[in-house]
Amino acid sequence: MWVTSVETMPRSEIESIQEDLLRRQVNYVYWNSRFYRKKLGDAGVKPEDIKGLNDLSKIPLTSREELSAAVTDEDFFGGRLCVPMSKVWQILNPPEQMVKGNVIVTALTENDREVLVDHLTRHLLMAGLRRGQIVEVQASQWEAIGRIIEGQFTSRRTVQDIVPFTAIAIEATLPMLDLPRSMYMTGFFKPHLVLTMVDFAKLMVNEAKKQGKTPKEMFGTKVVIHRVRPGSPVLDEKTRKEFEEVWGGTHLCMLDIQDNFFFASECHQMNGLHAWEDGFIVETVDPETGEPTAPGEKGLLTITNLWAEATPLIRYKTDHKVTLIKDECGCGRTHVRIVF
Amino acid sequence: MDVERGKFWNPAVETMAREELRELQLRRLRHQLDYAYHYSSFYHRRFDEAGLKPDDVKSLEDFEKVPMLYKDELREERSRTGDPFGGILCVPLDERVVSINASTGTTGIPTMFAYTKHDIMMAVEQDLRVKWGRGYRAGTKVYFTGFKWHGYVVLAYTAADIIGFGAYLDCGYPLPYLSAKHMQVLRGYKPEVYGGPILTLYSIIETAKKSGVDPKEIFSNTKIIDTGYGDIVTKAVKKRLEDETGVPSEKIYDFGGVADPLWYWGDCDYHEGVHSCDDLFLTEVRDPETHEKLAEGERGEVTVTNLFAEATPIIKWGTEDIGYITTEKCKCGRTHTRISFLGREAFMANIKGMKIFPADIENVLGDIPGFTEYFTMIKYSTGPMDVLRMKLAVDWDKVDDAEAFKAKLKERLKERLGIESEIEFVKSVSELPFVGHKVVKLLDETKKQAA
Repeated sequence: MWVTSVETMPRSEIESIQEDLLRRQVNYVYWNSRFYRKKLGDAGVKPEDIKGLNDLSKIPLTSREELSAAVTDEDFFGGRLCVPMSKVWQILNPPEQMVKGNVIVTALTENDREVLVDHLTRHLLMAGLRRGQIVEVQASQWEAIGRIIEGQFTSRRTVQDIVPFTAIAIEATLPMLDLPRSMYMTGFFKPHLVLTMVDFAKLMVNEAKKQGKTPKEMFGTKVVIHRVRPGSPVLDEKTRKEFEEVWGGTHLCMLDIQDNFFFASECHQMNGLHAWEDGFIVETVDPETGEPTAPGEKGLLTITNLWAEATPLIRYKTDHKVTLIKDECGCGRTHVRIVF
Repeated sequence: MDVERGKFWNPAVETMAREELRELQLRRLRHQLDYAYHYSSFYHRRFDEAGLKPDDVKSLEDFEKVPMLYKDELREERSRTGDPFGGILCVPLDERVVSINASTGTTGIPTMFAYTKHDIMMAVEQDLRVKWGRGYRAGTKVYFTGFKWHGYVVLAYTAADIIGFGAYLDCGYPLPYLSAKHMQVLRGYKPEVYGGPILTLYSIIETAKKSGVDPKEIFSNTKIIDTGYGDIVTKAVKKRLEDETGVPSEKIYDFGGVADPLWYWGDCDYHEGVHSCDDLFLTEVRDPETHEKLAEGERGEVTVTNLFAEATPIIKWGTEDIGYITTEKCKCGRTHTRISFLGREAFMANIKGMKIFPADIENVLGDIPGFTEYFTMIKYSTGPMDVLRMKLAVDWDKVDDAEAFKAKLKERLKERLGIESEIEFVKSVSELPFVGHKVVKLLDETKKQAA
């Protein structure tokens, strides 16, 4: 584990941290984000109304459609940016192929980046990343993940600075165009860990078959992380079995909600995706009523970001139907797990 | 305390006296030869085969003894030995290498090169010099379009963190749906600098026009365009970009590089060739066949030697690009070698022994109103040809008298390049031969005749 004391924290402690951060964050967005000022104002919620986790449901949900509708010619953040542009380290636009309407952009400050580095380091160490390994990162240029994991050579920290590894970067905007390159590189270097998406991975398997081989003999990868992003589905048990057979190694699923800089991934127990509750409040809500669902019941995954300075989203409703497990995992981590 | 940099990122080095630079180059070259010989199995064998010891190179003249290196040789070595780096990797892969890149390889299988942190930082230095010289400062809003796997992206991000400019990167495939996204983001972000390949830029302009948006509005806040990225930014390209985006052609810069040796360059405000960093690279022009070193100003293959690489050193690398160099001090004050690229040897027409590239035509005729970069030179004979035959799609909005226009083009070609020409006007661009979405600049008709 990267930070054992945090990752195995008792639930009471997690909740006390969340309560403090929630109060602070709601107050912060109310005074700094035009978008949330209006939203909370319309719902008649004042920051001081939110005293603890029990008050969370007073805050209205935020949807992607709202973010898109808020974008104007003058302000492509739609009023969500809480810091002056000079404080922004990096603007990103999460994948938008699936969404009609305006491009939604997000931003990170220097501090935001530090937190993301910490979160992703925890995820990758959990998956089995160790120093000296060769890692293939398949991602698009617009995604935060690439710049957080590898390729920084200044005083700014990345996961690569904490766990020195050798990076192979593959552009994954148009999988078909970059498939030959990816196949060739993976075949040559036999990376220990491949960070991919289910759709891209399937293309690689098919291409290997076409060449009369299996990924098992071609790549020999130990760990494959399948990242969920718009257009690339969750790794279900059937697909996992198939991959394990033709590819070998361990296949893990990672959820990447880029609009809100939220990551959750499986440990080797493969019993739900671990989220970091010292950074997020994870809830499930009823798709019809928007009310929080009872513990253990299926609902839409809803994420509150407790740390972002630039473009945090509060109670951001996603399309993923999940249940939550709050018991301690076999690996020892106590944070919430997400089960599809 | 802030360092007084003025217009140069590294004033002491960028304006260093020629003799000092040559001394520095020789010192670094000798170290690099010695290093490659002792740490790389490939170079060791090559030097041995040539009967050469690193110590034999005592001057830059002695460098002639070192054999040329082409990408194909590394590929052969790779398939022979099974080593992905063809025996040029000098450091342990798992301990020192931070990044592996497959070059753009237009010819199929990518070639692999590895970089240590030191390699990347030295390469970033070139980018810093170019970008600072062009006016990038802390807080400058920059929009880049590129490709994640390309080694340059790492450098751009690192340069952004060092200078502190706001780098916003997105994928650079010139595809309509991506261009529509770029368009939206450009309107919202209002960058002061746009950086990206020429084709991506054209694609954004086309997409904007199709959706009824004036490209000038999209680039309303843009003061600098950094383009090139592998294609030559000729006068014709600049003219078109100036007309479409409203950015003055003096502020449209050429940026490019060869990813494998980490060699990057850019031109300055005077646009008289691109500046290479002589303290980091040894740049020469050689005869494509005999590999003999050519004098300054003569046209030949540009060869480059990396003077700092730890992971995969590259010595006397044939870029297969034709160009000419000068070491004359630039008007901007820099003393390093300037290179004028012309294109690939395969795209050249031989007119009475004069080697003419499409880039020549664009540079010579680019500022004549009505000329477009949509033209095709015709190669109708394998040997030297008497006249240049070309087809041109004319921008008729800017031309009143076709005959006078043609006469003007011919006169300009005669005056600047000393060649006779036969020019045929076509009604529209679609009448010209195409490969994919690119006009074929040199059509080889000799093969057709033979068949």
